[in-house]
Amino acid sequence: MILQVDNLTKRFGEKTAVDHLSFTMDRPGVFGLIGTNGAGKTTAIRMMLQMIPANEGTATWGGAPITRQTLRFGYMPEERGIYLKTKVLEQLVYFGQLRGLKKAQALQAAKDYMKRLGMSEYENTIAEKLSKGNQQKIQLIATLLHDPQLVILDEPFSGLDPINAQMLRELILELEDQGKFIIMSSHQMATVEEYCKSLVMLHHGKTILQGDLHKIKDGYGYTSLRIAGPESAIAMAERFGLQYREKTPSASVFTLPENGAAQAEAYLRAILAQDMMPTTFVMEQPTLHEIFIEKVGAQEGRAAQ
Amino acid sequence: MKQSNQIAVVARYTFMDAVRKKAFWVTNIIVVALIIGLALFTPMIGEDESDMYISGDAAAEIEIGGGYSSEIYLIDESGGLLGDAKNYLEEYGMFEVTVYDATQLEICKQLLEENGGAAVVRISGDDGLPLVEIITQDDAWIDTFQIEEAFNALNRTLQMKARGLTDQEANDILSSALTFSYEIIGEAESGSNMLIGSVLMILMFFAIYYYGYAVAISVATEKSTRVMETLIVSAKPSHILLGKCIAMGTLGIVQMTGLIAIGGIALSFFAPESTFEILAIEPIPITKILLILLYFALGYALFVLINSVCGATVSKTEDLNSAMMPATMLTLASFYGGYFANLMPAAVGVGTGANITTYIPFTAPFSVPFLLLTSDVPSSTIAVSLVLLAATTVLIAFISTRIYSASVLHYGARLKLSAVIRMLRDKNI
Repeated sequence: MILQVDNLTKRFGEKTAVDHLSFTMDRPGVFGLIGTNGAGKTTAIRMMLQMIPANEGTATWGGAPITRQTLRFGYMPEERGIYLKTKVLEQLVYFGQLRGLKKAQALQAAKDYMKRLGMSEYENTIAEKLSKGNQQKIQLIATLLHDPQLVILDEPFSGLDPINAQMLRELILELEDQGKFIIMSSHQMATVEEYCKSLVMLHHGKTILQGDLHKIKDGYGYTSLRIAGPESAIAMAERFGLQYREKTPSASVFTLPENGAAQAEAYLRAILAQDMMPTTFVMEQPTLHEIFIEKVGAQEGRAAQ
Repeated sequence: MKQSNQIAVVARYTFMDAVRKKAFWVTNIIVVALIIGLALFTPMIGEDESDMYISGDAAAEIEIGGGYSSEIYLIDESGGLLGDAKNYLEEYGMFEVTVYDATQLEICKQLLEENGGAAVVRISGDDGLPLVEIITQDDAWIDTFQIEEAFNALNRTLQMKARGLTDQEANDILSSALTFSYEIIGEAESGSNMLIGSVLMILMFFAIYYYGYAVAISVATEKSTRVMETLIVSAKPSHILLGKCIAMGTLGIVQMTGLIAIGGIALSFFAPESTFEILAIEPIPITKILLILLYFALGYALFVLINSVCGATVSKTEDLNSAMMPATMLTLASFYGGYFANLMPAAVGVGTGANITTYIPFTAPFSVPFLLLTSDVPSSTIAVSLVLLAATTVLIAFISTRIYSASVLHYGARLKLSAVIRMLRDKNI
């Protein structure tokens, strides 16, 4: 199956919230939809799932327009919403039935997921009595209990404590192993970088970067050098065209010039020749965060011109 | 998933959710208590004046709060112009009589005031003609007509005896009565089932208002708690809307039917048979019952759909009342229009029977059921009224689902009318 998004566009009056968004997801895994708040991520998801009509473009699954009939999808919205005055199991069964499960199936699936996420003791608890993290887990169960083919998680880690975040991490990996198509929307670049093979980066509704994450990073090459070791060795770095950037608790960081891998190698050979052995010497590709800052900066610069 | 299944799932959940609420049961318990209380009170209402004139035994048995009894304090200063009044009155079966002498008038008044009683009666004579003076308490529920009747009967008996009739003959004359039979021709001016028609109209208003508000608040709550987003990825907004409307409509019919049934049972247990005559309750043909239910269903759908749209235009439940103001005004105007046009036709300048409110889709759900209960409405009138109502309901349903679908994901300030109209025109919706 292939998820194909073509030229999705949404305008609210004069403002274009999503401008000709296109991407393809041709294999299971985690796909990142990233951007700052207000970049158009949620609007794009809503259009993909037919929650709001698009002004232009299409979203298809296996060639057919995405509808509740053509695709079993699960969506966890950024703004968590559950019935606060209703018992947890009761509302999960309701959500399951709405997604086409029979009552017994929905009950079983809900119980299984609650057990899996350590929530069994809260089956008959009124939702408002749960902590925010547990309410979020209920929302996650509601998203998954009908065994969706496509899972869309909008800012899934926001508000989770480290233990629950770890639990969600494991669950996402499990879903990936099960062959699910997962779209993760987030403005937390580190999170996306951890999971996503491919991504689309949005800024003010426009796509500023997209593709396979490894290829994107390879395209940038090595952009920084992290080195720890004798001070005299570190002091030699700038002689090889490496620009000092910062000192972290564990190492000093230098910016490599464009295609600077050769200078870094020359530098390494030079310090080794002088018997100065670094304890850390790592050439790094840019983080997604750095790429994002660079792309947004370029976009803003163009807009300013 | 089949569309009908989704509507049924939403309807079932909404119905059960509403039924499980404490407020629902507290309201029902209070209303049932009121109904039973009214049914218990009805015999007192039913015991109207005509009963008291006719049935001396019943009247003699009633004592209300010590202020009403059958005790008569009798003083005869006439020298027996009315014979043995004490025995006669007691035999007449209405009173307990105690005789006092002429000097004890003040004592009798004091006794009446302190111990209660029907009256102090003083018989005096004027030129051989008896004069009966009746003294009652200001706050006593005494109809002096009963006492007058008793003394008149005594006087007539004495007159007849004086003319040579035996006791038996005098009694026969006094107790003789004609048999009457009645036939009413022409169209009833104040037809039967007027009361039940009025009550039904009020019940329909409350059902439409209360359950319409319930649907609106349910929609607004789902938006404010952000459940809506979870819901609409699972079901079409129109299905959610229809499911909710069906659930609350069914709940309304079940609740109203239950309360009417309890009322009927309570009346049949506690109220005298004459109550049904007094209330002019007549059997209602099944076709009329079905038509009334149809009007309820269409009218309910019409108003509830409008209310639900109001719920969808707000993001916070506290904004709901102001958003619902136009719908509330429309409901109130429609109800009062139907009410006054049918119960006070002259006051609003329409004739009796079918009138303009029969045809206006918003007033018809209140007006036509009343007319169906109280008169014979021509089939053609019903047909035109139903077609207009059904067409309007379908149109409103179409408009409501469009607005609802477009506005359920709107957050922030309450949607203004201009924005709602823009949504209606948006071809993308």
